[in-house]
Amino acid sequence: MRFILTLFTFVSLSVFGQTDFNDYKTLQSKGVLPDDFTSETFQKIEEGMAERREGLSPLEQREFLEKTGYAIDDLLHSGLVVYGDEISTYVEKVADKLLKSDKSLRNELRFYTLKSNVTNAFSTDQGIIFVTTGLIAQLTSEAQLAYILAHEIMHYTEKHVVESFTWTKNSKFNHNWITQLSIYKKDKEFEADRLAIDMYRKAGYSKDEIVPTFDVLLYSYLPFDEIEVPQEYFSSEKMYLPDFLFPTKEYPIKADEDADDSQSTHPNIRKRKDAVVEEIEKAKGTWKNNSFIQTEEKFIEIRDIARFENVRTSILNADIGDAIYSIFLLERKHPESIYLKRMKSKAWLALYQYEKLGQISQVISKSRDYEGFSADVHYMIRKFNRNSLTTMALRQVYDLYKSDSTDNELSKIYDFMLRELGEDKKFEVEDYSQITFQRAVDSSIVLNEIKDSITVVDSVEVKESKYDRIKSKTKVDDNYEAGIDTTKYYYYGLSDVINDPHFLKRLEEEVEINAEKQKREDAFDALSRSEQKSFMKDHKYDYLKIGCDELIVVEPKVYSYKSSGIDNVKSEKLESTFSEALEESAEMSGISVYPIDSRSITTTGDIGFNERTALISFFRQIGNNNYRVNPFPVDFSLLGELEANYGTSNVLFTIVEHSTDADIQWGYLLYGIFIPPTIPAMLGTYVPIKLMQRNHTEITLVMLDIKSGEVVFGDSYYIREPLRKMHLEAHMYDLFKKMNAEK
Amino acid sequence: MRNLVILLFVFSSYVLFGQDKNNGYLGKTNFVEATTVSYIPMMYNFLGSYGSTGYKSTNGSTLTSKSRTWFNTGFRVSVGRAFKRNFGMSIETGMDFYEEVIPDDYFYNIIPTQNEEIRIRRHENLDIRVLHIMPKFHIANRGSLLPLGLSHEIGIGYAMTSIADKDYVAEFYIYDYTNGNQNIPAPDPGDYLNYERRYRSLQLLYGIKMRTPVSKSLFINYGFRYTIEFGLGDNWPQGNANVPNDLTSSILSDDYNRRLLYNVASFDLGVSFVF
Repeated sequence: MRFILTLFTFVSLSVFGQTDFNDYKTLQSKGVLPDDFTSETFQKIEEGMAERREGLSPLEQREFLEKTGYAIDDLLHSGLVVYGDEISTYVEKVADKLLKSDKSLRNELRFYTLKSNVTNAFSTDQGIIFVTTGLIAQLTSEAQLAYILAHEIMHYTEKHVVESFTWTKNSKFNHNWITQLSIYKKDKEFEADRLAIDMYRKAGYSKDEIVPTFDVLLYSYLPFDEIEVPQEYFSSEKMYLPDFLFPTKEYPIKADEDADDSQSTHPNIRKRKDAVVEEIEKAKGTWKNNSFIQTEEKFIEIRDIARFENVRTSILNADIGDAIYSIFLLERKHPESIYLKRMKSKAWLALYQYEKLGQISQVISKSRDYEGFSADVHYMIRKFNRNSLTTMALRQVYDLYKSDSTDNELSKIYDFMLRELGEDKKFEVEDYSQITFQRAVDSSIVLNEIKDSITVVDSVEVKESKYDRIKSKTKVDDNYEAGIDTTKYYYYGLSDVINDPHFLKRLEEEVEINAEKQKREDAFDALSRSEQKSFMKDHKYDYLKIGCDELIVVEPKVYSYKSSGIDNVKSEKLESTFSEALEESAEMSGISVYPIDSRSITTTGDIGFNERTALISFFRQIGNNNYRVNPFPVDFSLLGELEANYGTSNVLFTIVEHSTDADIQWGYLLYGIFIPPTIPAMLGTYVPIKLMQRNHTEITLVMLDIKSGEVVFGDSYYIREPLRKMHLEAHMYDLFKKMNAEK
Repeated sequence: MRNLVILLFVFSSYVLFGQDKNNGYLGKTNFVEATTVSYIPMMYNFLGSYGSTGYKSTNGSTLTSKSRTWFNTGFRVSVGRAFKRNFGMSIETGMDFYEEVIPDDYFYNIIPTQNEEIRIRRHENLDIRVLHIMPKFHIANRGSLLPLGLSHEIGIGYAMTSIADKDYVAEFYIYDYTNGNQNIPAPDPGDYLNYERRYRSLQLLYGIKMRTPVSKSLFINYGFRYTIEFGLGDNWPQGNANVPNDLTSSILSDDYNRRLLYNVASFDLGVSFVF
């Protein structure tokens, strides 16, 4: 089945070529898995040791290879990197142009896309060049990408990574060390900028595109476009938003070309521009005038893909304010995109979840960081109070669901919202008006309603000063004169929703479920302390008893600590050992396990790699969010496909941490000076007991339900046992047995 | 003793009922253990009133001096069950073996006369056997899965000490104040040692043990145990070298006191079979 789907996808792409932004799917890896993803890191290190590095002792070389090797491989397996996708393929084509005269160098280099909103590209000592979606989203031409790639290729050919390591090893630490390091690193940047020009020129790109590339970098911290959000984008006939929710001033952009770079690893933009301008003037040979060697349309398509990824990454990172602004920017060009609708719905759901917790500031920018038009969105969200944000979020999620009620994902997000509302004791349908704001203005009946609820108005939580409130009221002159209190605008925002029988029925069901839950909690509270204790004891592991007999298991992540930090080599070797332990213990306990890990991807190829990426992304999304928030999966549809393929929605993630520390207070032996008999007591009793207890292992389990998008359970188990396969196998067997049991 | 049994029963009843099922090690919670017990009688050697050198027999006849004993051993066999993931019980039995030194020129008056007395010039070290029997509790931290892993052991047991029945080689002489010493043939050890005599004592144990699996039903176990002993009632040895056939009491009384105080720590190493 999977083979047919893959074939179909392949044929579709070959035939149609163009990305369907209306039904966009996040970037997926394609083709044969490169060795970078399948080889074990310690093997790569051993291979790297075969080639001697100048200026480094064998020990230092091993340290260098371990540091860089594990950092890069962690990134490759982080679920953020894709290969063979549309962006990587495009980047490779640009690299082909740059390296057309140096085939051997071209063959050495690999180009992968990193799903990150940070505007960046970087090369590694291994010959991998990562380009972030954040960078592509910001560019205005293919030539700019070419120059950035040429710059990174120069870092690689000039061996800047290893040189920096050598410099750090050989330099003496003093009070001026950071400045010296900064100067050294900046020299390397200037060198790469300078050397890149020739490669760029020879490829046939325009010299006029080089300086603007630095502008891209200068403003890269801002969203990928700078467009004012019209009030009507949020305010509608169904949900009127008063003026005071929107800023009256513009927030200036503070980027400084000539910023102080004395402690920075990169020179400031002004210096880089000056240096390249000088270099361009000196450059020999002819210049062509190409901003695009591939078509401009292709570049725009690739950039749009990166921008769509930008939205996804913002949701994944719980940068919800940014996500909403990016969605606004993209909707102007792709108004019918179901993908954007889904993301928008997820964003508003998340805003509501955070507002409910009173933690909205975690997902929007701080007011001091407001810059440009994107600030309008953050400003508006911050201005919402608990009631108005609830109303607005429900309004948005409801409208998006209604706009395409056949879409499974929009429907699930709506269900999720209803579940959240069902738990919300502050949400009451009765609080809302049956008519819209506009109708209220037009109708004298409304005036009476307002008068009746005037006391409620006084108690509304408005996060603004008295003076803000005065100003805001004076700003909405029209409505004020009509006798409408605009601070209670949300009162009219759900007039159609609260008359929707389906909504009311679903909400009632959710409220009932929560009332049952509340009843159980009340019954527990009514027990005596000893009864509560006994109850807790008897039901201690109930949360594990989910009657599960099938499970997707993502490989365990192992951190084995030594005194200087993580022992990467040991940790990596243990990871594969523990993967086996997990599978064996599951089998013994009667649970069928489907491993999706870095070992299995060698046989499952890109399909397995993409499945693993989707799972890790969801896990990452949970980690990026407040632990009290259950985020709706950013890649819901991919997870749905995965569930259909494996026949189970339970996914288990395991993290194992281990350290040895006997925690012996050797100072106690000093007592022996004064009380000699304590020495044998110390050596014979205290020290052996401490040594026996030196192992500290913590197993963390997180079970996700990819169908509902919920965390089924998450817990940590601390054991004083060594980190060996059979120990983990026994503990996992115990946990699997419990998971296998019914409550 | 009866009170102790009642106390144990009440305690075990409390911890055994109404708890979550322990899956133990891959579903196995019963275990049989065979453990060697080794200890260095360091304090005994340095602080023992008799010193620690002695004699061993070669060819079953001659005596040659023997250096201090640095390493004593024993064994324990136990059978137990982990009732909870962090609580188990077992019953343990076993023996300790060590040698007791009889000091040179040890006074032993079989037939006391006014001017002379019989003395042991040199005596082969006595082999001492201590038989143990002890119920133990195994307690671990909450995340544990007994019998796997690290556990603390607490036990209250019973020990019986005796001298091994053996043809000890010895040299006897008559110490004469006026005419000088005169060698005499050594009597049969059974004439002056009572092999049947058992000295009973109560033992308290604290141990810390790690069981690490080597297969699906076998562990290697290792750890340390600390014991203190209390002599029980009228069995407390009363040293009286003037009583014929009861050198046992005389020798063991001193030994016993030393052992009670000094031989507190030992190292355990063994295997556990889980089922």
